[in-house]
Amino acid sequence: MNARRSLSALVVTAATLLFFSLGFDLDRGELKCEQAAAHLAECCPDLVFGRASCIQEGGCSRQEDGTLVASDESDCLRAEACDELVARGVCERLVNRQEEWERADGPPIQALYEEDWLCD
Amino acid sequence: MRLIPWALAALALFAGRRALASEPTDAAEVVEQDLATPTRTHLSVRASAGGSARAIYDSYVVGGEGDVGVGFDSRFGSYALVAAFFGGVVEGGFTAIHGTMGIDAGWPVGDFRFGFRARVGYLDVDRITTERQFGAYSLGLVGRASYDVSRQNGVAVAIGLEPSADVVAALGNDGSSADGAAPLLGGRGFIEVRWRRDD
Repeated sequence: MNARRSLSALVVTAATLLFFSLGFDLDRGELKCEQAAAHLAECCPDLVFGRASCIQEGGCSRQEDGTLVASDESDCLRAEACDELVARGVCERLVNRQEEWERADGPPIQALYEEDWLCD
Repeated sequence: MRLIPWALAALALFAGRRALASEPTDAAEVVEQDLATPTRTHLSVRASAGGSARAIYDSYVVGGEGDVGVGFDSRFGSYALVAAFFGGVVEGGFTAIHGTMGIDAGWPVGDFRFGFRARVGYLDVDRITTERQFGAYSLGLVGRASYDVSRQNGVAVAIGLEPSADVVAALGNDGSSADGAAPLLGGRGFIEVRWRRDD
């Protein structure tokens, strides 16, 4: 009887974990960042978005963007043609931002947004 | 390639006109299986396919969607358990798939049929920066309006439109919108084939 109960509890726990681990990670900021990454991949050959570049931490409690490219920046960058982005130096500026962000003692991403916002 | 759905629709419409035109005028002679509203309850199977256009946040999601359903037609309406699958792309070129299961209810009005479907599903969107994908459960309501272009020997062919509204469980919070759930809104145009068993 106890073994049966334990097995039931195990199955319920596994199902609950599976349910919550699968279906709740769509995120507007992350999608916008991915869309910017897709557009910039065609324009900036030296810019490689890292695996964590478009992943935000914090889940429900997060109050600010936490991706390499902010949501509003993504909209304006995707509206620009490659030659315009290159002319504005966006590729180099993003490479610099990424290097700063990835430094162990680097500033938070919000500070980097403020320091060099990529849209006019 | 773009002409194929139109050609199919035109073919279905042409076939339907011929089929409906050849129906006997005396209602008593129409086969029970081919009545818009049957007098008895019949097992029914149906499938449909078509193009879909929707939007999530402010990005478009376009592709194709097909469904298969099993249920029954009665004088009180048609009811079915339906499995549907969408495959397409999200703006930016990200592959998206959306599988759903739902309960469908519909009622004929002459050669037209109107109904709705309540469904649950799972949306998966590809990414390029990581192999980890966006995955989200969905809960939705679909409206259905179709026109029977043909009903012959228990097989009906219809064309229709299907506006849909799903809520995608997105727990992320980007700070500006506090979006705990994302609407996935749009619709589908479809061609449907229904089969009604002669019970």
